[in-house]
Amino acid sequence: MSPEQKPQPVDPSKLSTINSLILQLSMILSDLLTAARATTDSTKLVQINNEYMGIQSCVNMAAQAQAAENDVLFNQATSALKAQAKVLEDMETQVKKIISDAALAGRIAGYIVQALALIAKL
Amino acid sequence: MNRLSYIFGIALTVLTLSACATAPLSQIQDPISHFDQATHTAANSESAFLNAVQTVDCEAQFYKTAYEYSLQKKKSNFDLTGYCKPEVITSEQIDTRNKLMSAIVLYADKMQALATSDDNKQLDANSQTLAENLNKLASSGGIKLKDPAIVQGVETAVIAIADMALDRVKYSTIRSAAQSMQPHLNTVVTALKSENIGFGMAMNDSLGQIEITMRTLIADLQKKDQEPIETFFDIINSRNLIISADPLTKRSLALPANTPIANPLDIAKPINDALDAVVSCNQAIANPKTGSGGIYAAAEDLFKRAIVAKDIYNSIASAK
Repeated sequence: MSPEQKPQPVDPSKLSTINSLILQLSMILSDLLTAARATTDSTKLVQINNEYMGIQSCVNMAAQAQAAENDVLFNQATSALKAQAKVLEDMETQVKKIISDAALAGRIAGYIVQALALIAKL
Repeated sequence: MNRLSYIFGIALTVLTLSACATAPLSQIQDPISHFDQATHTAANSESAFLNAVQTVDCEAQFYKTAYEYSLQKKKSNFDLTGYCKPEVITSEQIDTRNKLMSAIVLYADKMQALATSDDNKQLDANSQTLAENLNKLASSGGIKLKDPAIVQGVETAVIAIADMALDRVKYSTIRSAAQSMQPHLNTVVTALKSENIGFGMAMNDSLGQIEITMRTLIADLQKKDQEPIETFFDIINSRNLIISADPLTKRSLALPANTPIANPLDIAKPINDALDAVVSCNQAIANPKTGSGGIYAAAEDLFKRAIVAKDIYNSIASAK
């Protein structure tokens, strides 16, 4: 391995972005749980559950990036996360359809927009 | 009261306060020993918390795969053994945080050694090796935390604790040692607390995953004209499962009005309260006005908080 390919420490500003991203995603999860508790409609619950699992996967990917020992591992983890950006974009539309509480749905959509902005910074 | 007895009274008060301020070693031994013991318990509590985070993560993964399999959504499989690849916190991350807690324990051990009447106030060989290893870890940039901004301060603090433990830096009194080490102790505790809040949030996310899965399945089964009694027992079983996994519902199901049902920050509260109590107890040792009674009270508070935290988090793993 040439010196320029040697793994470097992770850029602290990017780690900071990951920390903010995890916070945003956790807030989405918290609101999705609130939405799930407010309904007994099985179809809606299945949909909310799907969204929850999708966001949870993103959180886990972000957690892997957070734990990365060097920039190579960090970039691997964030590549997977960036690939989820499209899923998150679709989720923004989907959430408005599933969740009848407009204020809650709007808040989740806002968190998604912020999460997407953070992913774009990685 | 005549003037003589008044002056005598003042003199006695001054002497008493002075005695408290420079409490003899024999008076301070017991409270410091209690501080040391309670700090060991706090370290066990931190370890129990981190293991609980991993346990709930693995449980959530299990329920997720079982749910996906039951719906035949995709070619999913499930594992009944309970083995899992942790996604929220790795074993290496647990190890690093336990090492930070070891540094705090090392400090408390050294304080106890300083409080003994023995001439030899050195720690035993194992503790000295631990101090050397912590020193090496911190000096080589081996401490990895979620927030990179706090790493440097934590490294400095760990080195300072190790140097004290190895007698590379000596203090004339226990009180001056406590005063000098207070900022370092505070730095390590603040870092651990911040990390714990993050892991507590992750644990909350995992618990939410389990809860939504249960709700979804119950609603789906009821829709399929399941007998009411079956639905009823499904709900009871799900509730028991949530209680066994959630450290907060273990403590109390009755919450004051307007309390958010699940505040992610609360999951780490028991362990973070115990960590705060470590700092408070050291503050009591460092504060000349406290006296040995104040130190003992602070150590007892630390011990009780650490026990509560340990019980809560240990019960998560044992419920599986």
